[in-house]
Amino acid sequence: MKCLIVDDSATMRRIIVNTLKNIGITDVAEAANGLEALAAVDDSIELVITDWNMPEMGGLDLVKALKADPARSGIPILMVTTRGAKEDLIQAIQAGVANYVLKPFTPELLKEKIDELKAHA
Amino acid sequence: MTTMTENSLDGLRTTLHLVSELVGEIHKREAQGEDLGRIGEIAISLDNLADVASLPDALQNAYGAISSALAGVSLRLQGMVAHDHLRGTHEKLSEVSAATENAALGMMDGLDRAMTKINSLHAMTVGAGGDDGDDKEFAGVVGEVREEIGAMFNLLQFQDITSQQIQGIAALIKDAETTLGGASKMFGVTQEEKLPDPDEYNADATMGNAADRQRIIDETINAARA
Repeated sequence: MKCLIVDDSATMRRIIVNTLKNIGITDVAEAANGLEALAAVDDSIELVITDWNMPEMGGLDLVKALKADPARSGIPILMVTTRGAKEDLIQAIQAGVANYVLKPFTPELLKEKIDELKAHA
Repeated sequence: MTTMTENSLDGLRTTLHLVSELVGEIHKREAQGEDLGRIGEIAISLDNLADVASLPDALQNAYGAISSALAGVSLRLQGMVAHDHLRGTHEKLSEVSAATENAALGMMDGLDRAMTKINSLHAMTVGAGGDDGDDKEFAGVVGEVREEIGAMFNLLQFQDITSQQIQGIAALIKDAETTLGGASKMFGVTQEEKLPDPDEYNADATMGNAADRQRIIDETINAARA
């Protein structure tokens, strides 16, 4: 499984890369914001893990852009963010987010949510 | 602005002096037995309203007090800007944020190196052909160390979360700085300001109650799926 990690924090990207590596996902690409992510999403990407608050283009706009593109709308998207308000979650679900993880997360939680996405794929 | 006020005040003082002289002239003519009709009534009304002759001085005193107070505010604003009480504070906070990110990445490099060494040590021990019991015990210790390193790696998430909190505080300070800049501009003290985009951070980011908050998220996601 090839995964695209989108987060403006280099620290957070590395933590996610490390967590994925520990659960056997070593094929990863990285982007620091939504615009970079849109340029990086190709046919090989099978999962997008994105933050919400980022410069240039945020995670919610990235989700909307991907869902609006028929060629890429089927890619499952996992939102990993500090935003835990119910209205945020509703916006994310309506935009097309498949699963949602709050920061700070444990490696076990991230694995669990990725497994859930695989099961629903 | 000050010159305009001073010019208006001078004009008003002159007008009030002229009015006072006019009233005096009317009274003088009335005293000489001249019948001025309505003009005389108006002069009496003006006299009853206030001491017209003293108004210019009262206005001058009030203006002096206001000018003095405004000069004090201006000096204070200039002092705040000149002494960088607020100016640039958000940049300093951003520097702190960048420094913690560099430190966190440095710690991750160190943890990666530690993990590599542990793996090498484990491989060397396994290859040495020692006692099976010792090998298992050592493998157990290695596993525990790996878990500890992994946990430390994960704890560094604090850097991203505190960084967002710092950005929230920096935005508040910058807002105050911009307000101060607007006030300073009125007194000729200029500042160039641009507010950070609030979409770039979550000022409400927190390390607290992650499990409870995630439970609520999961319930909502599951309800949406059902």
